Amino acid sequence: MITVVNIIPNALSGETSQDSEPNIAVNPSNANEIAISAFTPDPMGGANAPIFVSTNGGTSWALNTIVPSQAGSVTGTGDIVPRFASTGGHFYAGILRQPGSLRLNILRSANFVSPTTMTVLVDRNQVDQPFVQAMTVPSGPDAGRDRVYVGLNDFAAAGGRTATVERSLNAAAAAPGFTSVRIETRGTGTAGQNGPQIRPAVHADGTVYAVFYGWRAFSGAGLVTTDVVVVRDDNWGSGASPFTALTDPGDGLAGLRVVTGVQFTWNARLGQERLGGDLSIAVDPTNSSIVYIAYCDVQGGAYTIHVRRSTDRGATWSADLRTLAGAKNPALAINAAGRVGFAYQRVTGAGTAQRWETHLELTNDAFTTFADHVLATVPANAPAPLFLPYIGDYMHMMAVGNAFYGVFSANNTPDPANFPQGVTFLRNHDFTTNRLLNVDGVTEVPVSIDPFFFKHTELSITRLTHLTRFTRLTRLTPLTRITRLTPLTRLTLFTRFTRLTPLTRLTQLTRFTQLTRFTPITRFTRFPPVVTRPPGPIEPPIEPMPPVTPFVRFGNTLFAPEDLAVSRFEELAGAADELQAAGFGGLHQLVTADPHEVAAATGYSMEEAAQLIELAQHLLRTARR
Amino acid sequence: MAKRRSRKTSAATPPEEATFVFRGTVVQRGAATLDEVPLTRATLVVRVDEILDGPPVLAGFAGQDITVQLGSGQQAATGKSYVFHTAGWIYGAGLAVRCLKLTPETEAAVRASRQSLESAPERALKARAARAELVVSGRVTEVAEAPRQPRAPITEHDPEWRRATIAVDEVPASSQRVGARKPKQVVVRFPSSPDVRWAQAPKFAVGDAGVWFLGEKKKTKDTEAVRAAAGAAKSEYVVVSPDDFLPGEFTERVMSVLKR
Repeated sequence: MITVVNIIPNALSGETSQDSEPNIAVNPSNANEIAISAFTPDPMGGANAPIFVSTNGGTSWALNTIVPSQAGSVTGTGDIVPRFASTGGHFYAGILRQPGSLRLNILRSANFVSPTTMTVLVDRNQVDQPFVQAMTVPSGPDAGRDRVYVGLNDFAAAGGRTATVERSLNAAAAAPGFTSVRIETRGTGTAGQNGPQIRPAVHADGTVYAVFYGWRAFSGAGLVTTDVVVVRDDNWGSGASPFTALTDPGDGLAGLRVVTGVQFTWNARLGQERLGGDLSIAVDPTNSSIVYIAYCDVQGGAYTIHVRRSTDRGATWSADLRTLAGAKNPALAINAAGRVGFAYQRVTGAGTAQRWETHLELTNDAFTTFADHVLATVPANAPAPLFLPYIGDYMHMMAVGNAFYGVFSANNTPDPANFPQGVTFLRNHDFTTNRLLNVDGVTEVPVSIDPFFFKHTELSITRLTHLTRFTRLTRLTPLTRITRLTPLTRLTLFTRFTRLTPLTRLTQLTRFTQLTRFTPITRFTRFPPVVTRPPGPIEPPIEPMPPVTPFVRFGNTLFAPEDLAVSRFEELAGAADELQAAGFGGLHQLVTADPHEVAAATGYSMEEAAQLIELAQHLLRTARR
Repeated sequence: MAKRRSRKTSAATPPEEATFVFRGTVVQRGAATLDEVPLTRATLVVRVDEILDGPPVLAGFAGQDITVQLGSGQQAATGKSYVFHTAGWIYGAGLAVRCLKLTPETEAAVRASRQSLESAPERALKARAARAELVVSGRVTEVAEAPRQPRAPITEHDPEWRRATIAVDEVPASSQRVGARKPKQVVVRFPSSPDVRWAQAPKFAVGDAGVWFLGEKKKTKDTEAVRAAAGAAKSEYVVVSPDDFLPGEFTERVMSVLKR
């Protein structure tokens, strides 16, 4: 199930800011707590920049102005990336602070919804694109300590080797120390520096990866020639030579070159957006040896995303698993089941028909097969940019448990056709006339760039395919498919759907056993003794009319309506409340419904509605058998 | 025109930090219009009767109920009307503001607040002029690319410095140094980049006219760092703030204010 929410709060229905370059942090210990950052100003021009906060899993959002900035700023802050520690609730951010000249601040808050301005942990100049990851040590002597890694381009680094990971091994301490770890080991040639994107990824076992562009040349025309380099540390980046666990077999230096000599043009354009390199990295939470990266270069004149994978801790890499031309802002994440999510934004069409599409792809088999969900397809030519980046030099997605959480920025025209998975606008709007409305609900507001939260959650589908002697069945439902009963199977509840075989040992039928027309009688069935009437005249009893029992007929099978209640099926548990509220309380109602009708009544997307109907049909067919 | 208020406040003038000033009537005490607000006895639901000053994005709240959190020592009665001087707090399903000052709504209080708010841009103008090394009105006659600073980093936030030459029409007396001649022209460096970092910086083209508020009498680490990054010569000024320039349509009014 996919949820898409325009997070501009209703109180700011009149806003027209360019809320671009969004990022998202979900509290791993409470996924209802979510923070989103963007180039969003304080609505009243205060000295702090806001973050968007939700405490109900992204359903509603409010602004909390806690990021130190500059009064009157129309963009809130410079670059900003927020993250939660995995336990304890500490909230961190890396920003380029205003005013200042590439002024890095690393910030912390004990409570992201508190109105208290975030504490400044690091404050220095000549830094670009701070990108934060955080993880609390789950066990061992340092258990409970927050590790914080900030990938950044530090122009103060010696020798033009500017790719840096700013690292704290105990960031929740009162005065945490941060160390600048230089991760480039090669010369940067005529570029004299690395690219601005340095992206870390952290695993709970202490494995820390980072990917960066190892620039090798920069021509006067802005042509960048670069390697894509991955470094790794196996102990939280805490040793004497951190991030040197991976060496390149080609030159024996730390940092494995996944690709070499790729090129792109600095400050070129895609739609109304600028280009300058894109990187993303994600490590599998179930296995730190599995790591994915996405990078961009130019292929055949087109800015192109490549997705690759390593299954041996970065030592070797696959060929492209995905190659997407005309696309940027890759965001990779891997959930607790090892499923890979890949979000990106791509320009399609030309001229006035040009559109920005935002996609979410999901795969269980390294993109041999994948599901492609279009989250948004919006006009690319409007509104006019107020500044660059237009939608963002990057966006972000992360996984908590089996769910994927992400954010993207896009044209905010309230047209349901632009959001194929469905969309919720918190700001005032009219989906019929496709107009944004001010807080008065009347005055039209111009289209602008807004951040959109998205969430992908799995529909719970459980199927019993095999019972063993160890399986204890505690509740059989009409949907339980029993494929083999053995002498050791203990049945504690029989329903009309229970099929008995010669192997089933029925130990005793009592007077309480009700035999129905569905109960097969076998040679093993033992009946209780028959009770006979005493002799004498028979007076016909006067009995009331039997109550009419409602039933639902499906093929040749009759069901009591309550047996078909959607709330009875675990497979539909995640959607039962919405379905009941929308008038689809029974399977029989759902299977005959039109997907448009279900989507309109429940708020699900068309695709989800069709999935629900298909699932209901499957469940009903199974129940008949 | 950007508003910046004097630090001095009197009983009639709103506090400097007040960014949303309105006449309002207390509808309910101990209640709020949005869930995120922790309720106390100092939490009010207030109907906004008239917005006296505030950002355009909140203009639609006239006639609507909002939440006001009173400050320490402030009191308000249900059904009574006040002039609220507030700052932003929470923007969610509704609006919540922190009250910095409130005065009972009398004709005199409203009049005083209006006068104070109406004169705020003029005060901000005078304050900026007082801080500036030089104020000039004039017209841009030339714009050229400034040489890139050696070892300037390659970054998407590159300011892309330009030099603008301004033919000076007038220097207000308040800005003229005693005995100094009116300059015929001045050179300013400005960031031409469309990057987010420089989104608010004025950008100039040949023919642009207006009033420039140049330099800061009080040097700070930040102002000197920007001058160094721009590679500005001693005689050149650096313009990066929207407060540093007001376009031509304001020239006459600005110069008349500065002459007072």
